[in-house]
Amino acid sequence: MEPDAPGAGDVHATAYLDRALAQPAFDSKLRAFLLDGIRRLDGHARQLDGRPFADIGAARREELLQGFVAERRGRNWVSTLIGYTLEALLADPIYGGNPGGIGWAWLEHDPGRPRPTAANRAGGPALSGIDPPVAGISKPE
Amino acid sequence: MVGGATNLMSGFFQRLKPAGFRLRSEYGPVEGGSVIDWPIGYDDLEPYYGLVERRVGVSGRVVDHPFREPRSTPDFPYPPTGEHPMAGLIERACAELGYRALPLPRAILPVPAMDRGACVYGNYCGSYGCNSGAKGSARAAPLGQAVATGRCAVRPHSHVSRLVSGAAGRVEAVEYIDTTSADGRRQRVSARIVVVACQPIESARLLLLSPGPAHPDGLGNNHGQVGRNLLFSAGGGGGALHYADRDPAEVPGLKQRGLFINRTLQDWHDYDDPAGGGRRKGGSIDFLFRHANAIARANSRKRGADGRLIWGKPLKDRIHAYFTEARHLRFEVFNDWTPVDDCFVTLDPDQTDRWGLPVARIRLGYHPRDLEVGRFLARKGAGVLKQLGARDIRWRVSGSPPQNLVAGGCRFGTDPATSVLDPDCRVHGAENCFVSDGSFMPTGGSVAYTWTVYANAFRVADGIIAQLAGLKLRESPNVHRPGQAPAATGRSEKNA
Repeated sequence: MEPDAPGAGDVHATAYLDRALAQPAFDSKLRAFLLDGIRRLDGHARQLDGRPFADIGAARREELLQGFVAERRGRNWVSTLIGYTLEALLADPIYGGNPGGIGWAWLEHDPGRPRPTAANRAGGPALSGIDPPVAGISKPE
Repeated sequence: MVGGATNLMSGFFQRLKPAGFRLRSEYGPVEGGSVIDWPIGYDDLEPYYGLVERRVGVSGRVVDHPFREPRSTPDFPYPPTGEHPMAGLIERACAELGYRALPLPRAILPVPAMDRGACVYGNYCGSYGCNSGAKGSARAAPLGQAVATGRCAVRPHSHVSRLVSGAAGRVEAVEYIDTTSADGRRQRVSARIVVVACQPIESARLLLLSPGPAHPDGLGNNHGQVGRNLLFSAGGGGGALHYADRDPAEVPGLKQRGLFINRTLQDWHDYDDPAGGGRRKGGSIDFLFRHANAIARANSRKRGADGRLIWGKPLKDRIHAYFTEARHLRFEVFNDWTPVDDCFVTLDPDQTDRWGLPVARIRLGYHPRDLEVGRFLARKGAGVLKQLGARDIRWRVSGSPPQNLVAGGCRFGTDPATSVLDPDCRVHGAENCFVSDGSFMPTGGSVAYTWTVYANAFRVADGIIAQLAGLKLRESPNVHRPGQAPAATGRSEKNA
């Protein structure tokens, strides 16, 4: 949106959140809360403007959001979504956001190393919980 | 997690000082608190602090100062890790205020040693596993060496649910759950010696979950002491050094990430209360950078000073400024947390874990003296940041403390009526069961606990070796004493 400052679309925030929601371990209450918030915000827009939230112009959407966060549940929901957007901005690209490290470059941030691989990424194949070089570790009999 | 919380520590290592072992004798009782002296003194633990320096790898530089604790070796076995220019700026600011910034030791190897790698200055120490092996976690350090001998087997994914004891009070079996099994079936293992080290809250919980014929209220709990006298640590603060406020020549050095500050202030380790309360045990102030975790830092910008949520361009501007316009400093305050009756662990009457076992219920209490001392120290720390020219200086010392430093809950002592463990950290009434984590501490000392917990664990180990040989700890030729290596025993000790 702004030059040199990636927006939610640039960091693939929706794809990042979709991928997170698809994880089997994703908390079911949190999933329900997120989906419910979409319904409520959309319902809020339909009630006030007679149209879906997605069809409303940017300035009016901003006003609706400000009204939505005036109450605690709406505020928590927006805060949660911002959190996911910031994850998409700054998490390793292997998780679906921050393509090519665009978020890191914008913020001059050096990520931790080593970077995750398909084998050891969060949500990837189950690990045995041990480091390869250490011998003698067994699962319980 | 194999190796526990030391995988995630930052590894700031400081010793307790002699007075820290005898707070009641030195400073008197605290009204409303249950301060007691330790049943051992600094000299009993000193050789083990040294052993940890060599076997776990502690890097640092000894300098002389009024509160320096005695040492049996002149310096650390490893020199300090690489230091950031901020260390020099902090030293200078402290000197300008008449304070003396001291080097802060770390459990981090600056060079490869003991089959572990050197620090690579990746800048993700606290809350993260160390990818080079330099951090002296219990997993990389003693456990790695133990497993390599072929005489140590680790069973991960095994949740210990109960210690089973018999009429004589000894622990006869350890019951555990294979957490990878679908049905949570209990397994049992028996041994001559059992050592508990689940961190204070979970160790107390396990003992409370383990009644037996000689321990009707939980192992070691015949006097209602298990879970009592829990200790925390105070809090801290921070500020931002804006590049725009600095000499431009300084800025590239300030932007460097990975090198350490490693400076501490101990000027008020002991001080006279300005409000006329007399001589007080104070504490220490450690300086460090704000943690590098980017997502946490970005999230910290989404609420304004008035608590309102911020999004869109205003949030982007705030985040960009936070990341690119300043270095963010923190300081951590450590003072002796007074043990009080109102800070303890019990079993929750209603909540259970997924295996049906009652979870720990924590009562957070504190003594107002701790907040006074903590705030006194925090103001000194804030003063250093101000002298540095930092902006947005904030600090917080609270009775609702940070959760990462817990001690106590099964304190050691000579009197079973007021302790859970004897001076060798054996559970009273269960002569083959030891607790070797931070639970044993009756008082915390005004530093992070970890080095002391490690040193005591090695001391407890010597006691176990002695017991297996039919000796008492003090009789054993294996016991580490100041300035001398232990007697040759046939144990392999390559790096002693």
